[in-house]
Amino acid sequence: MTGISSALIRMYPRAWRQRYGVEMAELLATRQLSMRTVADLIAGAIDARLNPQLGAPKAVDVTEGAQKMTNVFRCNPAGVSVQDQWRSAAWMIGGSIVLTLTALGLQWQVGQNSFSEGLLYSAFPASLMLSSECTYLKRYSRPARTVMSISGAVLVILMMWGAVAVGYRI
Amino acid sequence: MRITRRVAKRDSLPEGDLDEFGRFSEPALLILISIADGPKHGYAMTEDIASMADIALGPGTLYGALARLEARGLIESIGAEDRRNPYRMTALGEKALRLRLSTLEAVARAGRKRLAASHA
Repeated sequence: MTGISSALIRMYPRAWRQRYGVEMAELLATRQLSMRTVADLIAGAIDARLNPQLGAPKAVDVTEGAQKMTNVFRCNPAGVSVQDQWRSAAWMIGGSIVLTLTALGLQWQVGQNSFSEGLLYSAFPASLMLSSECTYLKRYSRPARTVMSISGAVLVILMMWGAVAVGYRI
Repeated sequence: MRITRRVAKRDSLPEGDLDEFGRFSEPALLILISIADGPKHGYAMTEDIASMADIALGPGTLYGALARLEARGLIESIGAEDRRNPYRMTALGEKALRLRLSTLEAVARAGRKRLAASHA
């Protein structure tokens, strides 16, 4: 099975994958993956999420909501180990240092400019976005985590750059 | 008035009626016809349906219909065979298939009769 096929199957809910995932992978292995098949699988995944056919609704524990809120305030999302928290801290501190040094280096090389100043201001928030890869985004697949954390960091830097550039013109 | 009639029709649907499957009702019917002569797994069903009705069911549509049929007790899995899982029709599934086929036969008969009358 190709990476695309397994990525498409991963779009289905977990209960559904546990029940039909292996069979569907077996079926996909017998055919060429066309655009029509891809569209059919995406539509099927949306349907499976909107109209779940599997399993009775989970009984909600009265303490579940409070526990979830406590975990959020403790910056401890479900499934995040102590090792993940150390990795997250390393991303935040290391990322902040690297981005700050990069911004200072740019300013030293090319003089005062909006990009390096924006990068300087966004060093910590961008590193925070990168660190979410091993905390808040932990429940997603590795490729999804990588894309989301890097995109978030880039977005923060671009926004800060834009804000500084606007500030220069005022 | 129309809404009332539709609700009344929905509430009076017999158990196992395929109308409630929405866009999956036709694939569900084809699946039931495919396994009417014996259990089949997903791949065998798609091949059978393609040769029988010239319809290529995509994997998402096939398993969307299978999940609905299984959830409503019209089909059941008979245990994994390697990585494949054959399905067979239940008594409720057989009843639903007979009901749907008789409806289709009645509609086809009416259509043919009207066509013949218009050419007479």
